[in-house]
Amino acid sequence: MAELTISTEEIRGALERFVSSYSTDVSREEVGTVADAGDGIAHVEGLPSTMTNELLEFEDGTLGVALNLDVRDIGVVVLGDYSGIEEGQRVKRTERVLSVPVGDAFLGRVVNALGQPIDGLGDITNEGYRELELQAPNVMSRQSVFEPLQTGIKAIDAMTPIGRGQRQLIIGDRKTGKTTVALDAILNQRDNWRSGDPKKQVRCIYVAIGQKASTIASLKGTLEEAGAMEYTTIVASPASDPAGFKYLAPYTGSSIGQHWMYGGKHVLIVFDDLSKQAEAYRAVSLLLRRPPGREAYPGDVFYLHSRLLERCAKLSDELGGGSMTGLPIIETKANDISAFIPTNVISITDGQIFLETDLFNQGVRPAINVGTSVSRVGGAAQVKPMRKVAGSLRLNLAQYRELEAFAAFASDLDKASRAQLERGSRLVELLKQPNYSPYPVQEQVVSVWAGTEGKLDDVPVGEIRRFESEFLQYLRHKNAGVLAAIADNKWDDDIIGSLESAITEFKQVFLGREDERQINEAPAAPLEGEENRETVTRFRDGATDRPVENQ
Amino acid sequence: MQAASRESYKIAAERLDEYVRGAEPSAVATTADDILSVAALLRREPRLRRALSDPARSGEDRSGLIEGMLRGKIGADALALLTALVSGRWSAPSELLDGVERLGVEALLASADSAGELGEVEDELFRFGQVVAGSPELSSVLSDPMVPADRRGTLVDQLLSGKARPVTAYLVGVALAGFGGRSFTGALTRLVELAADRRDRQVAYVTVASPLSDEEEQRLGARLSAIYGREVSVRQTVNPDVLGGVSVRVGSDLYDGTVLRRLNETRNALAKR
Repeated sequence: MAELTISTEEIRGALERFVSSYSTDVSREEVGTVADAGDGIAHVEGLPSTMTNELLEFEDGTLGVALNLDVRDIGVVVLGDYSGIEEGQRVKRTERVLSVPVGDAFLGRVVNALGQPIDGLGDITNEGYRELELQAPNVMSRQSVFEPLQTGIKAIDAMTPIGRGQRQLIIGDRKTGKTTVALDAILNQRDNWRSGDPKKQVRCIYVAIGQKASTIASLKGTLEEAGAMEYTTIVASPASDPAGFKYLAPYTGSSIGQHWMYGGKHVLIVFDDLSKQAEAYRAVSLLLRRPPGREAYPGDVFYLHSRLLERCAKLSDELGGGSMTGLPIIETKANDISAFIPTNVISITDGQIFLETDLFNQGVRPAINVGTSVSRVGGAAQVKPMRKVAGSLRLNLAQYRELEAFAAFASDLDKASRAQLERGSRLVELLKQPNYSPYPVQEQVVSVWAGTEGKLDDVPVGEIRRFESEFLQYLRHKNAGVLAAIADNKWDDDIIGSLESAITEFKQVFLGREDERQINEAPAAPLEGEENRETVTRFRDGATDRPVENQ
Repeated sequence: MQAASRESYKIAAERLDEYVRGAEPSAVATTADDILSVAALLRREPRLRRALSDPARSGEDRSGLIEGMLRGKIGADALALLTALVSGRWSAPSELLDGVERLGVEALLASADSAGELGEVEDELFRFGQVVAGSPELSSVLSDPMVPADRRGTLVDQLLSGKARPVTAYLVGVALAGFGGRSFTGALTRLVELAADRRDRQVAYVTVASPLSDEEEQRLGARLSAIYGREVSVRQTVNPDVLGGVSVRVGSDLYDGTVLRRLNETRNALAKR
């Protein structure tokens, strides 16, 4: 082994060169002073050339965003710890408009509202930076939404379908399964991701705003367990973050997504939830002394959400045909969807999924209210077989809800109405689905077909879910070709014929063995606590205890 | 100030310059005193400043109001200047107050200028600012809004009597009252800048660890003048905390070549890892 010798002269020479290479160049920078600071807001005097939304650096290295440019001072929202900022401290310009790092390395990571990793997995190598406040694509750079984005939830894919590039609002009270719906949609993209086909692959972004850090951690655990984390980025701004972070987090997520969208890829972004973002923005605005409006929200709270959601789009083929689908979530109070922020966001989005506490407690999960949930994109966002079979589903369910209310009081019903009720209760049962178990689209089609065509009318209501899962199992084993054909977007008489023969065959087995063994799944238990539904007792004709009138 | 107010102030400031050219320095100082006492009156009387800046009334109405009220109580020159100020349009009552105050200060500085002592006044103001900044006790008393301005004024008079020019002492009094709603130190800095501005100079605040020699100071001043295209008066502060190098601040521009900044940058860079 050669001995390593470096003479002292060499070392001295290297050190001298090292010292002389030290440059004492001083560049001009613009500075101002903190006039006052507190509650995450600072007013800064000086800095005449500051741009709106520019990042300013305080003495201790904390960053802030210049939001208000006034005559004599600048209103700055401090991003980070504001306890070290005092009156009289120097503030520097960074000449960088608020932007976040973006790129494919963000998949599988958890970042904060500034795009910095917070999962302890080391630095993220970014492909570049993207400004937070870039305008949404204009009319010419878009095209209409036509490709479906399967959520894997029967009730949604059949009745309020979501297309790639659509904005579909998920709205409901606390604890009605809003996050679960969004998570199911993310989980359902796993097969698309594994297919490796960029036309199918959907990158997912989950933006958690003002949630408990423990909730975010358990959600990440769920995604990891299901193998969904490898195509998902979580932008987390937990409840402990200052308001400035919470208000910026959705824009950060959106910027990361837009980078992919303009690269011709498909993106799904979940904003959970925008009501907390509006509250954070209200806090910031009030501290900056902007005039309060309705419910003390500032005047531009509509623009806050509209400019964010407008950035979800389906781009034209010239721009690569990428898309970003938005699933904003709004929490209502006491099922009131006519409050200020809910109506704002409903009017911005292309439809909404309304989840109701009553339905949830009755065991109808996902607790989607069919009457008030709509999708303005509609059939364009469905595959052909689904469009064919689901046409009458909404109507059937709406009629059932109407009759159900009526039947609570009426003593006798005609045969047609009773049939309608029977069919409706089976459809409701069919649309129930456990969480984190998305269905492939071909199996959804078969289930909905069986329900709407009345194939389940002779199966007892309590047995519907077992019948459905066993029939799908049966099809997978005995008749996989049909499922494959439906997955290939085919729906013709041959397929219907083979489905019909399969279900008749299966029903004989299923109903035949029913007498022998009765295995009931545990019914979905209503939540404990107060009763949510009034019950009315019906007296039947000819009964002896019938109340006698006109005595 | 907003556009309309700036316009009105500009007209009055031009009138002031005309007047100063043909007047004795002592007469100008009296006029300045008159204007500043009117500013104090306006600060006390919100209804008066609303009436004097009422956009619904014509300029003649408003100048009639101020003439009727102040004729005989203040000098004719001061009244003429104030009439010119009030007859213009004002965006807000508070801006009229700012305008009157600024006009008074400008008149005071002009009197010092024609007496040939403006450079010294600027220097004294800056030094006094340094003295205050160097003594936390003094600084907290002088910038405490709970202590009445006249008591603070007495304190300053005791400190400055015999040591500074009367104009300087007067200007410090203006700063104590909160020139344009600023803090005491903010007001003092603004006054230094206004004085430099009147000499068509810019102020460069230089912080060094050990005092610059005269030759170094002149070289620095010449270099800065070349950058900014006008005379730069160098105001030196010695602060051993910066360890070495020079930091120069001109307006909002900072050239920080101190060792302290490099150390801070290194510390931040390490803390981020």
